[in-house]
This record gives sequence, C-alpha cells and structure tokens, in this order.
Amino acid sequence: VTKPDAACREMEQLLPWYINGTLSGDEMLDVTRHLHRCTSCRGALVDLLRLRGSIRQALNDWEAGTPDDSPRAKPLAQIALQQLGRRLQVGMIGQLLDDRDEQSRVFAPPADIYTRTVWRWVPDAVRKLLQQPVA
Amino acid sequence: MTVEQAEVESLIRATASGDESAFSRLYRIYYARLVRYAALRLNDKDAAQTVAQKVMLAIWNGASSYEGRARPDSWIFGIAHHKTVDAQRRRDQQSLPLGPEKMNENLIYATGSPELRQVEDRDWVIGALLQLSHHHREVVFLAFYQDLPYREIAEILNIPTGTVKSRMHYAMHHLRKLLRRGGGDVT
Repeated sequence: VTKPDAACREMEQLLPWYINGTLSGDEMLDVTRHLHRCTSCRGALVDLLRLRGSIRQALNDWEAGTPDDSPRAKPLAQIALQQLGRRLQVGMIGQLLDDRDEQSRVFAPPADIYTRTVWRWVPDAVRKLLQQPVA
Repeated sequence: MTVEQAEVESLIRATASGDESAFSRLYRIYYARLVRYAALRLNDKDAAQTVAQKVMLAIWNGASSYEGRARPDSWIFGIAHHKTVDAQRRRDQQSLPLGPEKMNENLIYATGSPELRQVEDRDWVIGALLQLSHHHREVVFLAFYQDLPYREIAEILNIPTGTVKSRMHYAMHHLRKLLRRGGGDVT
C-alpha cells in the first residue's frame, strides 16, 4: 500500500497512542503490520514523532520558565509552615482558620489538613519564630 | 505500568496512610505538570497555580479513595480536569474580563519572553497549542505529555474513545498548519 486508504484513516487515529506505547497488544500488532506495508502512514508516523518531540520539549521548557518563587517545588508542609509562620509573626494566629477566602488565593486547605499536618508543625514553627525578632 | 507509575502508585498508597514525605515527593513530581495542564486551559498562571494546589490537596485528602483501577496519572489528571473545569466555570460566571496588564502577563507566561518568541521554537509551539480549542489542547497534553492511553483519556474527560481519537487527529492537523504558517520549522 502506498496511498492512503480507509485502513489508513483508522490507523492514523491510533498513531499517537502507538507512539506513546499505550495501545493494547492487538492494536499495536495491527498498526505495526499496517506500517510495514504503508509508506504513507510511515511518513505520518515520522511527522507525528517530530511533532510530539517539539510539544514535549516546549512544555518542558515552559515548566522551567515558571517563576522561581512559585511553590511548585516546595512540599506542602513547607508551604503551610511558611504561611503559618507569617501569620504567627503578625499575631494573626486566631484568624488562621477564619479567613479562608484570603488563603484561597494562595493556599486553600480544608480545616482538617491543619489538624493532620500543620498543627504538628506548630511547635517547630513557634520555636523558630521565637528565635527571631518580630519585625 | 512504567516504573514511574508504579512508584507513583506506592506514593499515593503511602500518602493515604499519612506519609508526608511521600506526599512531598508527589508534590514535586506533579505540581508543575498540573500548573501546565490548567494553564493550557485557563491561560492564567495564577488561576492555574491555584488549581494545582487544590488538586494536590484533593490528593492529600483523598489518596485512600484511589482504587488502582486506572493508572495513577489518570486518577490525578481526572481530579485536575474537574478542578480546572470548575475554575473556568467560576471565571465565566464572574465574567470578569482580563485587564491589559493581566493579558500581557498571561501572554508572556504562555509564550515566554516576548523578545525571544520570534526565534524560539518553544514559543511557536506553545503559541500554536494555545490557539487550539481547550478540548483539543487537553487531549494533546494527556496523550503526548502525560502519555495516557486513549481509553483513560476518554474516562478523564467523560467522552467516547472515538471522540478522543478524532480530537487528537484534528489537533495534530491543526497544529501542523499553525506551525507551518507561523514559520516555525518544528514539524
């Protein structure tokens, strides 16, 4: 087969998943067999491989381009600790669980996560804060 | 299942039992990917980061509900899909148009440094992706960045498998046209 036919249309729709390796065994076999005899679909495969490479590269670079100060690489507990620390510093601990709207712009945990995570960090946070002069 | 997916599955299990270091590892693996996924739909960095944080919290709170039927990626991006759709719906309901400053910031986020966008393939590709409809962008992201099977993408998006394949097919066709028209030699 050298020109696209009805089978090509079906196979071409499977090519993205042939490339990412997630087709079922039978589908993988069907596509492989078709590619062996179809130059048109082999061309489409090469084209798609290059396009996928470009997309992945672009998205990876985009990831690298996110601001360094974003919390993307920080563990949840660390972020929670920092926020809790800031609030302790300005004496707002009493409002910690009340101003959820304000928190939601940055970090919006439901109340139980404080019980499960943040409060366990409090003694350490308090200890650290006590070692620092309050601005 | 790839080694990474097996690792992710064990991290989810550990998170379900309250292991904070396992959750921190999940955070490092997924946060940036989730921001990217949401940003491709919302085109708003701040909103995308909020969505990613909400997804991570949902993982923390709901790790025990992961049953292992689908790949961990599918479970996580299923949550991300719902949170992103919610965020978009809320934004649409508020009908708040973006101001010029915000628009400019988002454009920079979407396409990289303005000075470089004429010369870098990356910016052509991201710019072209953002010109697709969000339905198509999502499928491209899940198939080509997260390497998910089309059946699981169909489950995440709650659409038939045939629609996943046809969206991907159309998206590839449209992307090629956009990239060639834009002058980028990336295909």
